[in-house]
Amino acid sequence: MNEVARKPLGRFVPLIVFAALVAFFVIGLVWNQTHDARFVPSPLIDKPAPEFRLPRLEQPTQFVTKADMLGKPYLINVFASWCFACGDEHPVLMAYRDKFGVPLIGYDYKDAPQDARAWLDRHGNPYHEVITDQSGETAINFGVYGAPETYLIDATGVIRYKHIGPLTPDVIAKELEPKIRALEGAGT
Amino acid sequence: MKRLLAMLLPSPLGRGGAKRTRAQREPEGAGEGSSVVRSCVDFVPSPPTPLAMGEGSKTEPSLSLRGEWKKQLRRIRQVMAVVVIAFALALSAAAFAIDPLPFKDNAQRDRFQHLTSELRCMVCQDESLLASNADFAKQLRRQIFDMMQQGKSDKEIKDWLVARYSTFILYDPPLAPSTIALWFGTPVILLAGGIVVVVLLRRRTRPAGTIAEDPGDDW
Repeated sequence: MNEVARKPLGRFVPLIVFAALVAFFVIGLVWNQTHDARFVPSPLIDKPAPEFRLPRLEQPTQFVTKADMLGKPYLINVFASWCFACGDEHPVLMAYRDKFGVPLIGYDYKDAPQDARAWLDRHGNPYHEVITDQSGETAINFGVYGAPETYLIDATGVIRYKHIGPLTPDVIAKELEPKIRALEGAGT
Repeated sequence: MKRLLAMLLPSPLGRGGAKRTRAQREPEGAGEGSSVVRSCVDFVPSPPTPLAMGEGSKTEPSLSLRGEWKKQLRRIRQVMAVVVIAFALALSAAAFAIDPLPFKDNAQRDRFQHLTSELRCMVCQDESLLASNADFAKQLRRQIFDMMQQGKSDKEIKDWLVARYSTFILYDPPLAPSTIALWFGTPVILLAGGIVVVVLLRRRTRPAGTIAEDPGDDW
């Protein structure tokens, strides 16, 4: 009792420790709720995109390679007919395909070509070009682990931006479009 | 709140309530769980719902309490046996769900299992590449197997994966600026706590007169 009377702050120490713990847990809870653990930052950003040579959906005998795409920026959107979230994203792509200012390449991931064609026929084709990766082997090099995923690749073939999950008008306005504009500024 | 109490109370009155709430909650919970599971694994058999253990008490109060008790005990044993068998089945299913890979020898298989158990399935995230039945995990297992056949070391394989999927794919986080708190946070807190305990204990064992002389006393 003597001690406490002499040092009034001493009695608050447990309270302060408790408050610190509570703050710690609250931050943890909020972090967990607002932050999706699936959105893993890609180590490929600002690195050259992997080499690829993939058949076109419409003419499977023709191949599109990374070298073909060099010279101007483009978007790669990983999708599949079996992917539900791609269906959610689809109207957004339809609305924005001509607003991006860069070609939008569909990357059909682990999908049967006839299924992909039927899916695009039914919903509409937002892509300027569709390439197919049935085995998903090239997708490993891109670090794809779920569809939809979107990559922005610049004129020199370097990945500038990646978004995991469906693109939304919000994401496009806040993240993707500034990145595209920045590339255009640098390119011209 | 009433329901919660009913679940907690072991009284016969509470039991009926508890059973009802459990029945109501189960489909929900099972649905949630299975939707998560389905995305990653499609082999887990739904465990048989154990018989409600309190069922015996619903029958007419028997004259021989001992007989009743024995009956309950037998039922509990049956339920436990079912649960144990279900677990065993689930585990063996996990072991056999993995696509057979033609390993050269047991050492290579062990190395493969050890390596894939240290890697995260990026789709499931709470399962290792070894345990997951997701398509993604199957493909990466195949890839890792192929790299092993090419004579790649564990480190080379891990580096290859990290270059594509970031260090998030490693269950064992590397020592990096962003993981310093993770690596040293706990020992530092433990050390601080230990120092506090030692200081307090020392002070307590000292004769009462010396405490007043101690100028650095915050407690």
